[in-house]
Amino acid sequence: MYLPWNASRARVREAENARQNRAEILQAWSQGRLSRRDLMKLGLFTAAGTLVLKNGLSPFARSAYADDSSIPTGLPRSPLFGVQPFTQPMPRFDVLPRTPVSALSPAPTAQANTTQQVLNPALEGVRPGDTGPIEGRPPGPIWAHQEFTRFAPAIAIQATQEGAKVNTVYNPGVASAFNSGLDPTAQVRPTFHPSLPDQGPLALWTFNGTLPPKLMQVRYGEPVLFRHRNQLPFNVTQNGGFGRHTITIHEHNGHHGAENDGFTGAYFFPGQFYDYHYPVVLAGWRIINPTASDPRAGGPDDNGGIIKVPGDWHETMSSHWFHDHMFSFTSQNVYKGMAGMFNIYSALDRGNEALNDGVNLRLPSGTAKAWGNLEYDVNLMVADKAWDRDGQLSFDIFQTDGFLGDVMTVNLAYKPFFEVERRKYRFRILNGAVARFFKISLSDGSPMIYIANDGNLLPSPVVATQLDQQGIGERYDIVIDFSRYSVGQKVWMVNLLAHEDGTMPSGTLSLSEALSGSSSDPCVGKFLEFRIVRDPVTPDVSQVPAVMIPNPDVSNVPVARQRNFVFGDDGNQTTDDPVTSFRGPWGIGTNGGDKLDADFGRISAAPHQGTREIWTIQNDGGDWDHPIHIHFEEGRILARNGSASNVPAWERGRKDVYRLRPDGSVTVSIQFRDFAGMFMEHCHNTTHEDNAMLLRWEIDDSGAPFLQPLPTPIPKPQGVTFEPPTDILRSAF
Amino acid sequence: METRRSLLARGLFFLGVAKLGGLLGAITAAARAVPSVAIPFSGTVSGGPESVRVSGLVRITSTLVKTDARFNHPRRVILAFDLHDVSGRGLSSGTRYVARSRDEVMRPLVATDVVEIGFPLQPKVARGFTAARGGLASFRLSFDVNTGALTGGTATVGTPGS
Repeated sequence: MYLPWNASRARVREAENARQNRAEILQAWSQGRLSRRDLMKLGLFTAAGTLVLKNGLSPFARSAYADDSSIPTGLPRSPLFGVQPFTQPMPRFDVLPRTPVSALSPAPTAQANTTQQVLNPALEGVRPGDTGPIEGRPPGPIWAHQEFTRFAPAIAIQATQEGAKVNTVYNPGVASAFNSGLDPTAQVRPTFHPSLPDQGPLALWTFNGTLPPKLMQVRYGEPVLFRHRNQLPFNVTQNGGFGRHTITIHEHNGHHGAENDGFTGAYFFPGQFYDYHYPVVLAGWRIINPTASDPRAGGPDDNGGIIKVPGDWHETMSSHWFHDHMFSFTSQNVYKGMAGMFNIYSALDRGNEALNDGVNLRLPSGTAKAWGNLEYDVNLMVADKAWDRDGQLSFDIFQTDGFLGDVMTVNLAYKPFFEVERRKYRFRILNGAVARFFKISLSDGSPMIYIANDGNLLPSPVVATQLDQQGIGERYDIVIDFSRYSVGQKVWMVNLLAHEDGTMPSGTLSLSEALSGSSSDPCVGKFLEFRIVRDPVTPDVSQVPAVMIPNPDVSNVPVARQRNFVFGDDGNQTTDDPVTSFRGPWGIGTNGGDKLDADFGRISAAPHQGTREIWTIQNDGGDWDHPIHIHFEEGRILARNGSASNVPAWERGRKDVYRLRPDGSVTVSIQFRDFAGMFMEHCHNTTHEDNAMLLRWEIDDSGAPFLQPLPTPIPKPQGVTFEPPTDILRSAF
Repeated sequence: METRRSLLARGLFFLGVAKLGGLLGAITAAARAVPSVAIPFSGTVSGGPESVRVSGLVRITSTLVKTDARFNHPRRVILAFDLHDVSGRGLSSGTRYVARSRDEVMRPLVATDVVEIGFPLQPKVARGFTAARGGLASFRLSFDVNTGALTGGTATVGTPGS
């Protein structure tokens, strides 16, 4: 889709003109000056909500300068300003400070804090003198923090959402020697490379407004209050051409009440905060190990011991992430920088490789602290980006099949290097792209060991020389043993998967093909360089045990019912609520019904509290793939395409993102426990998600403490109101 | 979709065909209806701590990806490679090795394709996975360009990067 470097000037000019025309329309649309209906009337959008194939507008329209009628206009490449790959160190994530809850002002409350404040009239729909609540969480008992007393917050973490600025307080959590020599006292500019232009405050929106991306370190037995303050521009038009200033933060894939899940319709405005309460509990805590007697169910204390907690230790989780989930704007806001990672430490996964108590798995991490050592435990957020002629982040919403960038970044740094010792490292790899899948290999074909999938340690490790496709939002935790190399050697992570558009990967390259540079996809090939710089400072005492976390035993949990969800194109819309309803080219069919466009006011499924169900998720086409995320509780894949034998070893643990594959289906066993409220199921190709491939399901508690069905929140700066569901599918309850 | 014949029987069948036809791993017309085929492969993975002679069967499944004309996607197949009857022996020490691997790749549907797949080779001992090393299998595969079915194939084993 991106033009080759040697494209003629005429073709580059044609593609740039088309890109600018799209950017103008997008700006008008994102700022509310044009509606989708207006775009249809203008002949720029099809009835299905996609951009018309028009020369001078669509990158897929036939190029006027190509002899072959099948050659599209394409996209101009992102300028690199002479920057070479592997010339900057990869920054570690920036660890968010953990503070006492008493540091929060105002103090957190179970129900939303509705103290009034005078609103900024630059907010849409606000008149001078209007007031609204200081917290954007929907008010009242339904959206109160569930189990707020039982799991009272023990620590607080705060973040803002802001435009790009210099980071003066970067905390990588490790000494400079473990961060490729980065000077810990240096200011970190908001740029993808020191020799690239700084990102402007309207181009890049991140947590705290700074780079690198943020990391939360939490542990079982220590509930967290995560306060977000929205400090994005009040004026919706101040977005640099894309992105929406209203936000809702999803902790992917936290096990907590819906009020903390970042529901797509529970967004909050600039000038407001939102308190997310993360109990950090093991699923099943109400009935499994309720007295917290099992030492395998717990979190690390500060002295090398275990804080025992109730729940099923088989449900221990490790690598999460958090990101914006704004209805119809998730792809833009996540792409703009609103994504971070979330490491959970447990009795089993202590983040200390030396503690030998028969419970700790001693995975590569470090030894200096009782828990949460990061020296040999490295978060990697891999994402493709693109920027305009000025080097500012750019996005193209009209690629409704999926937006692709042409520049690879790791931890929001352009093709960096990372210094390692001759020993084992754990890498927590997050696919943080919008629509791009990856398939990762080492450049010399050496083995890697999968230890976790979607943040869940596997029953047993799986060794592989090339990882499986990794869909958007999926996490693979792997171990690489660099002791096989000599000091001074280099080895690279390589992407083997090519895309021609955002529907799905176009093909897998062999390692030699990917390294040859012959692919037309600029994101194929080397993207992260490992430099083996020294022998281990201290002996590597880490382990990769042959047994990690066996799957939970659900043999005594009957299956309450089965549901079927079909993900495909040509969704219909049966509602027209101006806030909750959206029309787009994608849709989801439930239990044999028509494929429907997203409406967060529609209830598509309502499992009963405390039950288990079997969900079959199906892809109805071969021209696309969908990584489907089911919020709230981890599921287990029972079958692919109807057969258990099709489930590969690295998918035989628990998961929360299920890649369907072309024409494929996945059958999942999933439980609904401990908390209630409204959650989501959607494609994590966030372009698909934003273009109507999302549904709401909610846990029906049969009348108490939640009424059924739940009213839908309608956020406004003056306060959240509620309305009845726009639609309830007959098969939902 | 699995054939009812055992993997071993299929392997012997293919080996027999190879001997008769002079083409290792050739697949007969009768096998074209079978989307899952087994191809024998062998070769040496070089490098430290010792070179390893590897042989066994690889089961390959080819699935034609359905396409809709409006997407203008080229015709593609998903190839699933399943190495589970592959073993090796160290040429110096006699140590036994095993290779268990599964991988899927998507390739354009063409009459003949050369596909390389890496695989881990590990000593056949407890926790052998911690001492795994990389091998490389190179396949020359023939397809029915109408159905996407595999019609023939050969395989060799080598060392990544060599």
